[in-house]
Amino acid sequence: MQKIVELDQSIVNKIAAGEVIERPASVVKELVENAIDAEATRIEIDVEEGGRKRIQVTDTGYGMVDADVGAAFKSHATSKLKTPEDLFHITTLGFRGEALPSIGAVSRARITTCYRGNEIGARISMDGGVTGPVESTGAPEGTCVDVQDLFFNTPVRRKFMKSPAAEIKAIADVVTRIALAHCHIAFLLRHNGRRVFSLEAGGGLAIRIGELFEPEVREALVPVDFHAEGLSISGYAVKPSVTRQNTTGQYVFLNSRFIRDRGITSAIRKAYEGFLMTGRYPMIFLFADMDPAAVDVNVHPTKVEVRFKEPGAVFGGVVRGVRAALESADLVGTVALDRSSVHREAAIKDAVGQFLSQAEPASHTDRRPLVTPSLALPRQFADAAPAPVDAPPLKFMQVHEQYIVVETPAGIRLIDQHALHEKIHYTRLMRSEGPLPVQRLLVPVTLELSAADWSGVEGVLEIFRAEGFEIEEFGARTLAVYAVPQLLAAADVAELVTEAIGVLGESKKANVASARHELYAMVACKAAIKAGMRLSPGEIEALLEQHEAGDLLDFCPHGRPAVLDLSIEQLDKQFGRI
Amino acid sequence: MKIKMSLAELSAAWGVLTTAVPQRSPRPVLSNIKIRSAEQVELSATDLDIGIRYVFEEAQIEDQGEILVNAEKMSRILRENPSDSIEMEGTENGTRLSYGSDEFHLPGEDPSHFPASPEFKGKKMFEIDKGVFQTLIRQTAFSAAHEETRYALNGVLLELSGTEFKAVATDGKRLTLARTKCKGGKGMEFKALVPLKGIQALDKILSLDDVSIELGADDGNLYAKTKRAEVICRLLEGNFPEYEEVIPKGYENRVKLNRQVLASKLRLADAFTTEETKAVKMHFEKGNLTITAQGPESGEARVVMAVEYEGAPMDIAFNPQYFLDGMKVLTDESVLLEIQDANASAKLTAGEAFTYVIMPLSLD
Repeated sequence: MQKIVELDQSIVNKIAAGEVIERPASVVKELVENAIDAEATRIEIDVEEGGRKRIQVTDTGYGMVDADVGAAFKSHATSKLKTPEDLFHITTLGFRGEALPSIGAVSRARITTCYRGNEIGARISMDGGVTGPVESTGAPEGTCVDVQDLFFNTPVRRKFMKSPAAEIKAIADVVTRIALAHCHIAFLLRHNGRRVFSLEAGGGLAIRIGELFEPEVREALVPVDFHAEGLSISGYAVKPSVTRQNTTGQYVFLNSRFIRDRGITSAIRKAYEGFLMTGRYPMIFLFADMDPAAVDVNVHPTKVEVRFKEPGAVFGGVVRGVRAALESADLVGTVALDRSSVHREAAIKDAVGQFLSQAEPASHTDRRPLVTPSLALPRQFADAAPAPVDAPPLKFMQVHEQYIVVETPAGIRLIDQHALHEKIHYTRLMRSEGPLPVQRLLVPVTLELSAADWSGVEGVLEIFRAEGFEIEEFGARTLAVYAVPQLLAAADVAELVTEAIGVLGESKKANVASARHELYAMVACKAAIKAGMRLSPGEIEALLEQHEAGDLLDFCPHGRPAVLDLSIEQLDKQFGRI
Repeated sequence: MKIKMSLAELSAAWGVLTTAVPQRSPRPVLSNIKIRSAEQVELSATDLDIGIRYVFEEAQIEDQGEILVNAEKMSRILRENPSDSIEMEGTENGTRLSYGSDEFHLPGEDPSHFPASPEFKGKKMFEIDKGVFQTLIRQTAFSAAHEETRYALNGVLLELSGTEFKAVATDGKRLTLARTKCKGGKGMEFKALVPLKGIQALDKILSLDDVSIELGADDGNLYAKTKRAEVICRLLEGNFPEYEEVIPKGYENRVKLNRQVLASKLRLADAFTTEETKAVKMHFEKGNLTITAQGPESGEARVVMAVEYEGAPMDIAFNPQYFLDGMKVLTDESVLLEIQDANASAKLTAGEAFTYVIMPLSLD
């Protein structure tokens, strides 16, 4: 039986030309997808030096017959498409038939394969685009593609490869995406002989997520289940107690293919509306299944972007499915939950009430009857601020538990409470000069990293150490922190380090100076009062004092303004007085 | 329902019950306190993590039934302290409150929508002296964490083993352990990791009521009972550190320190620390403890106190606030400090009853 045929020219023309192989991760993606299409039950990926030296993908699929082997390195040879109609009815992953020849053109590649049930296998190699003869060889059932010296004949591409740590992280990301969609397949990823992760087959999605991500994620899963005509949405939403600072924690699959779609991203945002703090993004594992004819996946060579025939239906389905899941989940007790936006109206009324009652100084102490003084929660910055001495009474109010309005001699000032406090912290941190005290910890804090973060961790640890952390590898995918810079000791150590590793792992120029900025920006953000936090008059005064005394750095960690001034003239003009 | 209640008692009870009223909640019914009159009048509040039930002492019951009263509105009324007593009556479309010449109507919410409080019957509980218990939680709660992700540290571990009752809290940089002998609950197992909010509620209730408290726990909840009040509180999940292993044993350098003098000297040195370098260096030598602090902008402090120290000279640095927090919750005249070296934890004790482990700072 011959499975690979050359594509009819009409199909070739229908396929947009495009580069498939951009970096080692693209090689891994294509080869793993081929293995999945060959019905593999186990896929092993071995990478050396971030893929620059070697990428080897071994599968237990049905392999190729000899005739197929000869055709494998021909452009647009694929065992998957036969007619133009097939192109509009795509259910397999690697349908473009470009992968193997594209890989073979820029590396020294060798395929060893044995068709299921055959005694003897075959081998073929391609060296910078030059195909060798098909040879018979002994081989186990399945296919092994060995790619060495990637981009050896395209020096520009080779030069633009990132560090091995960055490339293996990208590879781990790619395999993570594929593995999430194929829980029935076992995966093993090794880098330089060291195991990055090993995933068992057949345990179901929740177990696979557990294998790939930190324990908090696994504990916060809420099943999503939504069905409408021609569309079904399943998977897991992650409770708002676990969030990320960008959308990289959002895994969306369309008919088992990982996609990035703006419409779906914004549908997810909408579903989580009111559950999240500003600047935080939910994690989610979402599988949309629909008739292949209702979507065009051939928009982009990497097949990550798609075009829906009815984007509105998909958007609505995601919003409703995810929202229903979140509402049915027990979110009580999830600490990071912020419901401020849901209760805006009440908040405004409260704020106005507070403002009006400020005429009576006695009410300041009355307002917080819920906290026993002896056990009051410490509010760091309020303690740190010196008591105002004979300061003229300030007129201010907090609105929406987010902004502060202050009367100034020239007009009014609007302050974003979080942004300003963050800036004060950031300035203080950046201005500090070493060596700074390092707080030792009573019990080391251990933290488990995701597989992708762990793969690039070696280079990042040095940066932490330079900042005063005592931090060591502590078993598989686990780090132990023994001491932290005192300045950062108030932050949640595990959360801080996990997030910083994620951010530093992604940034290209991970050096000490930029890392310091990232780290301090993160700490400043965490230590700062949040939007949605009700402040006592004393706390607002302390904040304003620190602002006055500040001499703050112009450079803001996130580039947003913290303070806006409106002059009397501007107000008069707006009201038509002048 | 129609009842008349003493305003003084209501005011005290309201202060406790509002601990359990959520400030913002997706379930608006929880912003109320439920008042139920049967043979006696009972008030209850909950945010679903903690529930408080209070049985009223001085109430005249004219008619039985249930009403909901908005916690914030009643607080505002009570703040004005308008009268000796207040009348509450369930009406067709809500609740009527009145005293003297003033009258208020609260719109109706169905009392049956308010979550029922769990029963205490059949729970195994033991008794402990109120004053002793209150001291224990105040001596430990300050060192608990306020973190978002390591939930297990955001509370106080209460534990009864044999006849010893212990309270333990830590934020990962220091740990407090307070203990007492407890006669009640012989042979009973009790271990509960209580969130700070629950600890605060207990502290408040004990400030207004009774001579002792009964405690019990099952898998997920703490049950606490005084003469007038019952508290049920969802326990924290997660692993609390093996605290016994953290407490150092067998240190050779021991020094007795006058608590108030040490606190005073530390406050002086602390005035010369900065936010960036919140550190004081302690130098121990024969007969003297010298505490120094310095910062590029804040200046320098060098304070000396006479101590009975016999060991080799030693330097060790700390966050002074950690020491001061400990001094504040003690009443003993002197404390014993045990140290080993600049990188090992220090142990501060006040007799058998109080142990405080503090991790040092490395300065270079």
